[in-house]
Amino acid sequence: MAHINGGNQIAVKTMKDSITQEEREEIEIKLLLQAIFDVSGFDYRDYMRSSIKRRIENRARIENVRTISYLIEKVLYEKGFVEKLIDDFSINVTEMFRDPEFFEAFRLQVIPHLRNLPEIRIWHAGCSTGEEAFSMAILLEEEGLYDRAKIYATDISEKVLSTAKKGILPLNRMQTYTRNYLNAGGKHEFSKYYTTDYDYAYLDENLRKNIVFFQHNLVTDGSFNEFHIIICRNVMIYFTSDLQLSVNQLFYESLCKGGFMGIGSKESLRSTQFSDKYAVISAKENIYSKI
Amino acid sequence: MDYKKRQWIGFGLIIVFLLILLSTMISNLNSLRKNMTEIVDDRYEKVKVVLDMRQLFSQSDREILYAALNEGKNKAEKSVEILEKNQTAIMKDISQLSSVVNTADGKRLSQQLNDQYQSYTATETKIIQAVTNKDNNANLESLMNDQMAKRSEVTKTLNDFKTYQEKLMDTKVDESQKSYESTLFLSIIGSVIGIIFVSAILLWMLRKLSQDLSSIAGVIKDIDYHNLSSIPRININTKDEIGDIAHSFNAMAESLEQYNLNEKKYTQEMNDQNWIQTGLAEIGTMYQRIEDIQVLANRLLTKLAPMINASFGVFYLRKGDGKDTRFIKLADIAGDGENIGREAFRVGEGIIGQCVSEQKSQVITHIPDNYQLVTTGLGQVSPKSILIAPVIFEEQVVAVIEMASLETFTPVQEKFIQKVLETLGITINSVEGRMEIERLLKESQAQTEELQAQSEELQAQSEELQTQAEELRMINEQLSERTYEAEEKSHQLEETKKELEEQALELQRSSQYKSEFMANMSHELRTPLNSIIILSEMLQDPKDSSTAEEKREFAQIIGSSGQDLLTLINDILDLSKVEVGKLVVEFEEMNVSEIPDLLYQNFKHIAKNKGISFEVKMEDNIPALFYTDHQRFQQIMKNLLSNAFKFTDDGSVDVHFKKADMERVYKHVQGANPTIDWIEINISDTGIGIPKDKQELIFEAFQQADGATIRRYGGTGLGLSISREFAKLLGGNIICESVEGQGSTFTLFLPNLPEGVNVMEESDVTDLIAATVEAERCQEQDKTLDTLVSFSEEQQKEQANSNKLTDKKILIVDDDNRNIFALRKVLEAEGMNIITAQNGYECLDILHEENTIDAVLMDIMMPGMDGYETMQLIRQQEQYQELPIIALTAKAMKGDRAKCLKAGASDYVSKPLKVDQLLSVLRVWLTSTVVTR
Repeated sequence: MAHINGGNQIAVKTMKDSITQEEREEIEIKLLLQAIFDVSGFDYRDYMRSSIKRRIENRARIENVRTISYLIEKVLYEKGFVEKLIDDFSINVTEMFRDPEFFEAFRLQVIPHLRNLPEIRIWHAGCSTGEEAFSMAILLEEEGLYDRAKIYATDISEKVLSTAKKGILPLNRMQTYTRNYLNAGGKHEFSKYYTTDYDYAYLDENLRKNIVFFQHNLVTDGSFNEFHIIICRNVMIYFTSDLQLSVNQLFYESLCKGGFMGIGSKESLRSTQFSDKYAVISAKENIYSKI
Repeated sequence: MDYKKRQWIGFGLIIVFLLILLSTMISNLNSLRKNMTEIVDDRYEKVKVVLDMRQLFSQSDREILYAALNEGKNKAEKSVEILEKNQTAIMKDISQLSSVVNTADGKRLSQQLNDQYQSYTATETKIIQAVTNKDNNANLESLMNDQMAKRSEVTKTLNDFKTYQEKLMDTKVDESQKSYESTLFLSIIGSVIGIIFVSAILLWMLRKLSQDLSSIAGVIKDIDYHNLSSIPRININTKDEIGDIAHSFNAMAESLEQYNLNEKKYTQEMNDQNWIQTGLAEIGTMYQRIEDIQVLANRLLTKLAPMINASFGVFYLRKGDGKDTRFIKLADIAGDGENIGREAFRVGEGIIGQCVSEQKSQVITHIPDNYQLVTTGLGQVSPKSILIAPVIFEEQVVAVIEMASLETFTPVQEKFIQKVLETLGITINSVEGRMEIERLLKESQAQTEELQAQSEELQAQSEELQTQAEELRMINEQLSERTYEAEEKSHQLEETKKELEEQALELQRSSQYKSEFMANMSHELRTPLNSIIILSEMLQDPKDSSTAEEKREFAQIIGSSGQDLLTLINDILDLSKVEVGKLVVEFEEMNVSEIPDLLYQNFKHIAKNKGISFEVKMEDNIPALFYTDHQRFQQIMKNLLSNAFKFTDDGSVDVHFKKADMERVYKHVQGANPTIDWIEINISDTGIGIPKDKQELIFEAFQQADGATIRRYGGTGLGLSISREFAKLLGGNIICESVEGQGSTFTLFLPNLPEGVNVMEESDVTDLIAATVEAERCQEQDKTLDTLVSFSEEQQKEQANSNKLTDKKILIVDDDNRNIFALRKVLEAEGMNIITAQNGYECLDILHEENTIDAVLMDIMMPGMDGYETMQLIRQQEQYQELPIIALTAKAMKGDRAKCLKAGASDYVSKPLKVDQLLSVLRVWLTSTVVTR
């Protein structure tokens, strides 16, 4: 019965002769995302539509095409275009010691709990170009825990990961990073951790020795280890609520008991379903501990 | 008759009876006693008196007889006396007797006795008189007889009386006996009667009482204390106390029954209330943590239904306002799990709608036959009663609950439902509120995240833009670089042209120098040669008429000219050796204190000759032993002093040895090492002086102030050149300060080098300094040996072009010259411009005057104003908010880092500094940053 009703509804919709521009665009986006998924396996269908839409529109503008449908064509026929789009979709905003208060809180409130662990496994989900993973490495180094730590830094984009693996930072960001480092309660000179030439700062080889960068898609891939710490900041803001829930579930399953989870300052555990399962370590900096 | 009265009567009768008995006995006893008293007191007394009288009488009689017989006078008198006494006693007894005699017979007898005794007494008296008078016997005899008669009369009366009295006594005793007997009898009778009577009364009284009491006790015993609802009554309707007790008991029983009834009622009510409260509490607990109205409805029905034995339940929630108000079914509960009830209804629609509009609960007990059936395992049953309850909140129906039961709803259940409804309204409202808050929260969270995403996107975009801008800039830079390169090339071409021209000019000049040199040389060589040739010719001349004196003089001149030539040739050799770098210097110990004497020895006479004062001053703080090339040093001193004396005609030439002012050393000696001792030697004269534009020129080979001077003062013009080259070889330098016409001061700066120039390379500052010194030396050599612009410099310049540090102006603030020196060397090597300040005040002054400083390297530990304070003061200035200040701290100091940052440092580097790190930090802070956020 319901089925027949549904069919009727579609019939009514297609019959409707004047669909708004918005609806049309929505269809186009849906189709485009489907196309991307089918072509590349990257699933952006559960990403925040508004954000994705802006990125698509941006790409359309750059490509100088009139409608999104042209992009679908390009995805299907133009070699390398889908990668370009995927590249567009990944927003790689990161900094070393981004939100220094987070790292300070982490240093003060989480580190003491890690001292007795023989091994510390950390997952940086959505690590982008690795700055936060490097920051974590510096923090652990200063706390004398880095030798015991292993940082798994993952991102959906191979491109940013290849940048991350080099450990090279643009010189023009270093002032900000220095400030962040100092504000995050850095114990030494930030300059201890890098050398420079005329355009780049090169992170100390030692800092990178315990970081593994590899590709991981939070939407489609499952857990790959049990971690003591999971950091996933400002990644889920691009996801719909449902996707956020499933990613949260993934994190929950990947976190060992008593393990810590850090999310972005503007993010939340979203569902009471999870808020019951975590103890709050720092409400302000969104650090939680699995009960 | 009541019990009290009965008792009064009974006991009263007993008392009366007892009183009667008592009084009877008392009267009997009294009469007994009276008889006895009479017997004892009266009769016995009387008898006793009579007996007494009789005794007395007999005694008197005897006395009389005695007296009569005896006729002794004395004896008679004595008898008379006794007689009289007895007489008196008897008279008294008689009178006593007569007074107590009460019976008639007694009185008569006592009267008779009295009379007889009177007569007796009279007789007696006569007798006595007779005796006394010794009358004749006859008389006496008669008297005696008479008295005898009378006495017998008296005796007889006395006996009569006595007998009478005894008779009376006997009578009385009899009487008493009788009286006693009667009393005894009476007592026995009375007692028996009394006992019977009292017993009767008691029986009468007690029988009634015990009957009543046992009937009461029986009733009370029969009471079932566990069930006080029916208590047996006492059926006594008498008007006595027992009746009262019975009555009271009955009243009590009644009130107990009532009380019991009430209590039962209350207990019931309380139980009901409890049940309601428990139910409410349960429901209240259930309300907690419910954040969804659907959940609330479901849970409420599930909870409520069993509590009121309802089999069906439906929960409708209000939706919409005004006309659109509808009540939508939110939850239902039915035994078989089937959907029941209408999906929705409007206000006023059907009974339930009616309830809503009336805002009143309704219980329907008369169910129509075709009403909803409750399914049981076996069949279907119609509910017996239905309860429709609107939930009211703020005078508005917000929901409706309908429950159906197979039984009739009890008032308690109804009441319970009412109570539930009271709080349900608030709960629904608050849950709705919570849902709304939750929704808003989610919305706002979503918005926050959206905003964050947007801001990140924006940031990403701005970064993209930045990248694009960077790219553009790069292209721009490349372009401008190309233009620059083109320009540079043309410039270089021009430069080359200029260089060529200059080289041509140089060539010309050097040829000019050469020719001038040649001219000078020829002149210099010629002059002594001239005299040598002339004088030797003169000596050769055979016609020579000169004296031996003259000849000696000639020889002397020839000798001195030869000496001059030798000196000249030596000078030229020295210079060329220096210029080709073949001069070897040997550092050795030099005793500084010996130098003044040496100088005096050499120049005293010249001074004397020229009339010039000459003084050598030596300050105390100069090391006694100084390591340098002694020979070269003396050569320099000689040259400079000769020079001074040469150009001074009058006035003075002074030499002043002192510890070098390091500032001046840095200024004038390139790559001066601050860790070793430096001396400076000033050679001042009051000579002609050197014009400013020529002050450097004089150090060039074969240059003197002007051609004319040479001619006037002579000299090869090589002295200063050689001296300076020597000084440089010794690690120092010579400078000239002069005012034309007033004099000149040549200053020699010299380092103490115990181990030669190499020491500087291995000195403990840093490798970098040594390297710089080396470079410096190379450069110097290059400069000395080669062209103006060396290849290496060119390379350096090229490197510096792409270097972010090139041409940046750095202010170094440090109170330690060695640090400044080291930093300066490092940074200058990167093509940076260095300004130095020794302390905070200087730093602020410099920043005040100059606003093109790109960064500050700030030492923290400084005397006076320290680094923290300086940084704070810098940061207070508007234009220096963003100025990179890199604090240089000693690692040892705790809390340094925080203090530095608080004071306003942009970054900090710990001492000892590492060159790479310092340069990295400077590159970071001198790079124009990407503006983020």
